[in-house]
Amino acid sequence: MCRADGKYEAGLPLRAYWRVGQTTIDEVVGLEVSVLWYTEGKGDEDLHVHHFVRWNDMQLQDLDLNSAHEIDCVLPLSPVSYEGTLIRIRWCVRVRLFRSAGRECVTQQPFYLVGSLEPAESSIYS
Amino acid sequence: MRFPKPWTKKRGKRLLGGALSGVVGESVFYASLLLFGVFALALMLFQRFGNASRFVSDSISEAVPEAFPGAAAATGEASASGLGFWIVTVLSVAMIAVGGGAMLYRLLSVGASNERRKMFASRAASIEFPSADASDTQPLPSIPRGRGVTDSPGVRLAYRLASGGSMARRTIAIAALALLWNAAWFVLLAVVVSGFLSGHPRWVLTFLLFPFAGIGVWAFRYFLDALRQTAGVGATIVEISGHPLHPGRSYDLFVAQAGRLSLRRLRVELICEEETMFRQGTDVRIDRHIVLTKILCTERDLSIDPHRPWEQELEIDLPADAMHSFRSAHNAVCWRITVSGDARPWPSFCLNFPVFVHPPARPQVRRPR
Repeated sequence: MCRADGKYEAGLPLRAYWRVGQTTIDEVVGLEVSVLWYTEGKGDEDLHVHHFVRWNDMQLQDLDLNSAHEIDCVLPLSPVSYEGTLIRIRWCVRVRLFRSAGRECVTQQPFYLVGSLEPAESSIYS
Repeated sequence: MRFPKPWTKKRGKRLLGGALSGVVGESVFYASLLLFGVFALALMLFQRFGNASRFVSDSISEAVPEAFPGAAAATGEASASGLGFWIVTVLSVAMIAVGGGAMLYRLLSVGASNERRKMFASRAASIEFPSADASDTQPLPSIPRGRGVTDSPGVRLAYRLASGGSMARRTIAIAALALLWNAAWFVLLAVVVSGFLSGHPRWVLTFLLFPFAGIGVWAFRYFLDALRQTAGVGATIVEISGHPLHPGRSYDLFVAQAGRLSLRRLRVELICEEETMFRQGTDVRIDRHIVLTKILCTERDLSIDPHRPWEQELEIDLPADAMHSFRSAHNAVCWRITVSGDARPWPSFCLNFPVFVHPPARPQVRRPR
């Protein structure tokens, strides 16, 4: 992640890097990288994918998994990360690796999406 | 290896087994449901219409010997009577529909990750039809726009807020319930009276009429209370100087209460509430938790005259760290202004006026396509 504290301001770019170690290209049949938010808490889980990239087995032939690859996207204005009593809104970068024989490997790096500290001038809806 | 124990409290991971075994188990279950439905439907159709009906009946009567005389009789009655045929047919069709549909849905989700499905759903939802007021700005995702709130201009301030739940609609619903129940009770009463007149009294139904009458009286009194509340409590007007609201800002609020009322207490509050929807078994439940309550005004021992409504100008200071309004499929963070009164002799009332809080606006970073 490009920020050490893991806090990103809404509406500004997010830049992160990913790489896969200790695996060979023959074992991997697909790869997905997504920037998403999901809810935790008492209610059923909601999930929304903001940024999504997928490589299939053919595209993975041209990809060096051991070297770092960039994720670059502009974060939305909402929803911001939230720590409530019944609801928690989490943002994360999730990498899902599809291996042969239907096996999957998922890892995610959480971060905080925070609102602007500057006073608001006007709503974008008004 | 830890064996799953379905009778103990679920701890640790949400999934006890692998994802693949879950898919297989669900598919087998739904396929069994589908096949059993097909079997039952085919059996009933053959018994009813096919030439094989006699063969099946003979086979059943031969296969079910004297050891199960009740079962044989029940099968014969069920297949013979029209009602039994239709019950089994409807159940079979329902099993086919549920089993087939669920299995198809489950199988379609195989091989696609949760993120990928959500991404496709988001793209489909983001397809917009061209309209006259389409703006170039990207909307705030997962935040209700609240356009209905700013539809009505106010007299004192910029916008007049709409009430979240109409008291008249609630009264109509309660009236419909009371009238339907009491109408059904009178129909049953007519059946009982006709039984007595014809010399064949229906005693069970006669005794059932008493508890049913109690429910009818309760429903009618509930309806009268709602009617008194609607008729006695006058209009509640709430106007606000700006909308949507932003954290860290102040807004003017105007509240007016009309009617002929003698109130023990009248309170105006700003409330932020979390709302979650979850499944518990086969039930869908909603849980709510109030995160923030700001009492804007409290008046005690208040008398309101029909010619001079109670009016008050207030101010809302929204906290700088307040969470914005949020709504997704199963979770929500809602803001509202509540006007509640403890009235005598009228029943107490509580009216909600939803408002929407947006995060501080920031110009969106645009990138060339």
